[in-house]
Amino acid sequence: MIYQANPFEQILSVLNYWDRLLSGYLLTMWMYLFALIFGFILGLLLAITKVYGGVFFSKISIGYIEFIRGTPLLAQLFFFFYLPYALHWNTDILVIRTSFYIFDREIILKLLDYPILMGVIALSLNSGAYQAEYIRGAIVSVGGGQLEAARSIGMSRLSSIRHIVLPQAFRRMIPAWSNEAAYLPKYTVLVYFIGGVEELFFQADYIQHRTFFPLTTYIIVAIMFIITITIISKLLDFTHKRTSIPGL
Amino acid sequence: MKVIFGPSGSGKSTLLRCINMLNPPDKGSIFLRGQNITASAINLNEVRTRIGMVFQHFNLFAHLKAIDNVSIGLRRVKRFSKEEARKKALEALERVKLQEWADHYPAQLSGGQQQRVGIARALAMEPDVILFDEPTSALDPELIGEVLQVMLNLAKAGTTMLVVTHEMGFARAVASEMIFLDQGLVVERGTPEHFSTSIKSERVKAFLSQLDVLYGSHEKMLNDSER
Repeated sequence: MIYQANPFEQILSVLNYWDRLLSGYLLTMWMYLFALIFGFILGLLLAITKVYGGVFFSKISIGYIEFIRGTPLLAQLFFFFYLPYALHWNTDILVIRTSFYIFDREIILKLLDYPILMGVIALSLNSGAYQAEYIRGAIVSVGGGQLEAARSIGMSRLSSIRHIVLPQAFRRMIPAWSNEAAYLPKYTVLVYFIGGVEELFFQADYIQHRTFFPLTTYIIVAIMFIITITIISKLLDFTHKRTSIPGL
Repeated sequence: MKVIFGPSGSGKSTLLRCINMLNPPDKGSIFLRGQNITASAINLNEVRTRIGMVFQHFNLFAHLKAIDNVSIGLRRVKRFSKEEARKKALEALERVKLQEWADHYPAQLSGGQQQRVGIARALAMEPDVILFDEPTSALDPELIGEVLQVMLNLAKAGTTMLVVTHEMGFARAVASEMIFLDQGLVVERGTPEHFSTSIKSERVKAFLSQLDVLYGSHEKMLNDSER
């Protein structure tokens, strides 16, 4: 009779690779945070140009958003992954590594190299297009009267947007925007497919080949995601409550 | 104080919005204290600080407390220090009798209070003229009085005001001149007495009798029906 490990033993043997799970998780979250932040900045610029940019700039913004939303993220990732090779850039530079010890185990974390950089760029450009729509929706919902009132007391267009429209738009945006914040970690794992990035799914793949417990490995990965996303949405709920203002 | 009135779509609001250049006019010129503000070299932001505007739907900045609604123009446009702006804003709120409500958000105020904050916001900039775009038409009947009272006090203090309104009683009592607009044209203009006694145009007569049916002669109608 073949010996079969019971679920408890399976979990233990997968968790024996906790250092790899941790370093993969940290890299995934690292890329996620960068993509979210850069995507937000890009999305803000796109949203403002789409709403206030006039005919020419709003067309550019619309074109960009439609192009990104119309093509698969995986294709965008591959495009950026192969770009440095196609342009014969030296892919050896740009490597930043760090390592630290937890319970006498070394956690090796590669923070930056070409695949990671290109992955983050592709994710940011992609997320920016989606975030732009959330921000644009919030800006439009603030309404033209607010901008008009600000102009009527002599505030410049830019100052009105900055001090009157955006503070309201950001507050209104949080519930819808938390969608993107919760989606993006799961999109981030697509970086796995471009290869060479030692993020969570790369590590999970390594672990399941070592332990022969793929189901258990991926269930544990899934649990890590559930916890992370719950924390993210609770944080955003909290932020929404803290920044809310009567009537907004 | 001048009152502009006329039927819906006659261009009253458009006229006000042209005057502070929210909708620049297609042709013609606007002069503010002798300065042509429709000239191309004019700094519109500077001009707008001298033209206050009070909106039909208040348009208060929803994320700012009453005091900040009033002081933000002083801080961001006139570059006052925080304390100075606050002091001036409180003075403006006092003129509309809302100093106790300074720390409330617009959503926590009644319509009448919101509109008075709107007036204070315009006042604080110390404009040469304040434009009122139907300031009471979005208000409950009970709240109209407090806004008109504030406007009356401003008029007494000599503030230059251009008011679009259908409150004919108020207009007759306060206005120095009344202007009737229809289809974008001035049909008739004159003193309040002129409009109560010697109206020339049939169009104005018809309009005013409509208003009377709405506001003025309820009692007369009731009496008539009782008899």
